[in-house]
This record gives sequence, C-alpha cells and structure tokens, in this order.
Amino acid sequence: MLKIISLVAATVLLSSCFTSEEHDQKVSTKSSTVDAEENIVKADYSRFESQQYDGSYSREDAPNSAVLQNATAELKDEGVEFVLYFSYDDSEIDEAATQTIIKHANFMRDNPELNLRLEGHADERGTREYNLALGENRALAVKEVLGLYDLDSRIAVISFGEEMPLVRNHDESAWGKNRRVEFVYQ
Amino acid sequence: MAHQKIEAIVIGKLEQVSRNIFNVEVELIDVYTRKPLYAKKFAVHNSGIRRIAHYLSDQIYFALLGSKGSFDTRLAYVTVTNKGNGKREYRLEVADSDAQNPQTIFKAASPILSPTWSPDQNKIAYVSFKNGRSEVFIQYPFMRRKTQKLPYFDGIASAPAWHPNGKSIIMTLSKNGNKDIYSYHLKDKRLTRLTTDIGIDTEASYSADGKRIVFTSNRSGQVQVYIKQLSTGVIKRATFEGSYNAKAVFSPDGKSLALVHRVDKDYRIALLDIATKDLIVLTDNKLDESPFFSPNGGMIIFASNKGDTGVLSVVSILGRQTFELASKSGEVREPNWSQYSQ
Repeated sequence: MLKIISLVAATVLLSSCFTSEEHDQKVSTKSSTVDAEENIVKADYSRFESQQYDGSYSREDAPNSAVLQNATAELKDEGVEFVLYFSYDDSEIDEAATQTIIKHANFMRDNPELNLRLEGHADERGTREYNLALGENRALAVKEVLGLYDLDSRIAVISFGEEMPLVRNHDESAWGKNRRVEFVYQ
Repeated sequence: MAHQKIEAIVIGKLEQVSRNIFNVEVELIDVYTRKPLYAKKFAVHNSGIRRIAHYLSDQIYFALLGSKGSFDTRLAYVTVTNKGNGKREYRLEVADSDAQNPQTIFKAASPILSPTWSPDQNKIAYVSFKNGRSEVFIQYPFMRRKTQKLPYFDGIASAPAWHPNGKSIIMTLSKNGNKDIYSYHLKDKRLTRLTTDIGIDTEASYSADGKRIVFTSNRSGQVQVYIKQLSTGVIKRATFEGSYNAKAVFSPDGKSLALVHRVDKDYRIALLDIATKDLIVLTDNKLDESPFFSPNGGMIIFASNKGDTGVLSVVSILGRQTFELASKSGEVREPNWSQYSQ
C-alpha cells in the first residue's frame, strides 16, 4: 500500500512554537535506523532500561528491639520531644531546644547500647538542593550540642531537605512543622 | 509581530514504501523568490519519524533564522505520584524536547533529585536516596551499562553538574559538615575543592566554555547567587535584587543567568543580565522551580506544581510567552534540557 500524506505548510512562526506531531505518538519503541544521506537517527528507545528500586529507606530498617522500644517509650512518657522545630532558613538552636537536647544526651548516656540518627528537614520554600544543605545544617546544629557530651561517635546525621514533609500543605502552619530535626534511635 | 506575513512555506511528503519504512521529502520555499531555502529527502524507519520531524524542524529553524534550533534534543525530569499509605513513587523520566514520548529510566520509593544530562547526551547524573542518604549516580539511558555510583565522601553528596568536556562533575559535598562545591574527575578520581566558605555553597553549574561556575550561597546571610572565575579564583556576587536568589544556570552565550527569585512569598523564574545586573521576572506562579535554558538559549524550561498537577512549561525569552509543555497528575520536578546532538 502506498500512502502519501501532505504535511502542513508552516509559516515562519517556528521561533516560538514546537512542532506538534500528534499522529506519531504511538510509534513503536523498537530501534530505528535511517539509511539516509545523513546519518542522524538512532532513536533506540527500546534500550531504555527501567531500573527498579532496590533497597529502600524506611524506619523499619532500624533494629526494632524491645530494649529500644522500652527505652524510648520511657523518654516519650517523660514528655521529651523527639522533634525540634526551626525558623525559616535558619538552623539556630534556642534555649528550649537546648533543654530538650540535654535530656536526649542524658538518655544516651543512660543507654550506651543505643545510637542516634538525626534527620534534618526543610519546608518546601526555596530550592531543593539548598534545602538539602539547610536540613543537614539543622541536624548538625543538634549534633553539635550533643557533641558537648562526647556522644559524637554514636550519632549519624542525614538530611532529607524538603523531600519528606510531615504535613503536605502549603501554608505557614505546615511549613513550621516541616522545618525540623527528628531524633531516631536505633 | 503585529503584521505577520508569510515569508516561507514548508512542503512535506511522507511516502510509505514498506511496512515500516517511509520516504520523507521536505522542502522549505521562499515565497518571494520561489527558491528552495532547504530541501532534503531520505528514508526513515517508522520508529524514527518523530525524531526526524524534530531534526527537520531544526534544519528549517536554521535555514530561516541562521541559528540552531532545539527541537532534536531531550528533556530529563522527575515525577512523583502518591501510591497510598503515605508511599510515593519517584520516576526519572526522559522525553523528547516537546515532552512527548516519555520514558521512565529509574523508579524508586525514595526521592530523586537534580537530573542533569552529560554534554554528549548519553549519560544522566542525578541524586538518589535509595541507600538512605543523598548520593550521586550516573546512568546510561541508551546503553546496556550499569548505573555508576560516585564514591562516598561522608555527609551529603548532591547537586551534580557536568563540566562541558564531560570529564568531570561538580557537586556539593559536606565533608566535615561544611557544604562546599567540589569537582570530581571521573577518570583519575581526583577531587578538587572549589569553594571554602563556612556557609552553604550549592547548586553549582558551569558556563558553556567551562571558565566560570555559578552557585548558590548564604555567605552574606541571605541566599544569593555567586560566580567564580576559575582561572583567577575570584568569586563575585551576581544577584543584588531581592532577598532570595538561587539555582542559577548560565545561558548558552554566558551573558545571562536563569534563576529562582523570591517575590514576597512566591518563588518565580527570573532572567539576570550578568553585566548590567538587570533582573526580569518571567513567571507569576507561587512556587516555580528549576529553570534551565534550551540549547539555543531562546527559551527557559521550568516546573511548577498546582494542586495535584505538575506542569512543565517553557517561557520564550524574547516574547516572554509561557506555554505548557506537559502536565501530569502528581508532581513534576527539575527539568533539564540536553545539549545539541553531536
């Protein structure tokens, strides 16, 4: 079968628009070649390898021993916060936060078998990479206080930037909850 | 553009010669002289037609305007969808320059950040949290080659960007807690520190000639954009308007920066003339992110998210017209535009 399709006559408006090629959106994804005057086309999309996610980050990864559960439950019962909050674009530790960190320091001394992971987070405002750095600064600021108690070697710091908000809203109340450092014992 | 007159016409013919092979014939004719400005004829496999259309668009663009078009290039970006139970799915996708023909090249339950095409268009560097922390990976989307992970340097590793020669990558590392820009040579594995300030330095990228880098820093107490001349080591602040400017990229001619600029509480895309310091805000949404120039510098692509829909848009620099390339349910993030085909 012979098909002849006339293409559109286009004006010089090309400078500000893309060609729309609706008709060929469902072309096969098999490899292609052009035996042409010019060797230009190698749209070999079949070789895209969709790599599956292997190995995930999750809280379940942490050892979930009874010791850990009991110890941290006790600390929580005492009303000690496991999350510290921060101001916009700031990693300053205020007096109340310092008091909380000191309670965690004492807890770590009482439970030498436990290690601590400090997870730093930012709100969604600003750029992702900057927020990744900012989240780490917040976690490092907490670690610095704990460091005064010689706990450095038992503390891991990690930043998730703005990627793992606690509250997925777009207002000050959500942002305030998302600018945080979480204490995760393991 | 008030009086648009037709100055040229494109006449095309597509002829099916076998099940999967087509002959393509294209002519661009000057309406006044009636002479062809461009003419080409060749055979194409069915699956290559879309690519050919973009290639021809570039040829026509060049014949009419004398500069290269950006049609036969590719995008990379990240999508995020909710899978229920608080679980999310992150996908690294590549697509044609018009956002059609999307292909997922990496899928994860943890965040993916900062995809960036290598200058030869064969590799994409990006940040993945798949091992529980931010690490830089290099993937080969068109080859059967294993994804490569850059060595672990302690702390965060993020914000990768290629040197124009493709031989090294600059990125943000936080060895010793201090977030600075480092260059990592992929072959001889040499690490060179490019910034030393105690503040946050991140989001670095090269000028097209490789002589300068632009990066985000809070060294002044505010988040602003800086340029480092690599030959002299001199670092100069580039942005002075507004209290938050970040994630800048050089235009292909090196004269301008596209960046994220805060206006009151909104984050918008702006264009900065480096020499005159003139800053023009190009968009008007709440949270626009990740501007990136088209390879010919004529347009800037960016992402914005409205409710449960992520939108990839481009804004033309001369006409300042914005149009949507694609909208997807969930989120779309961090578009990156490949260079010209080699």
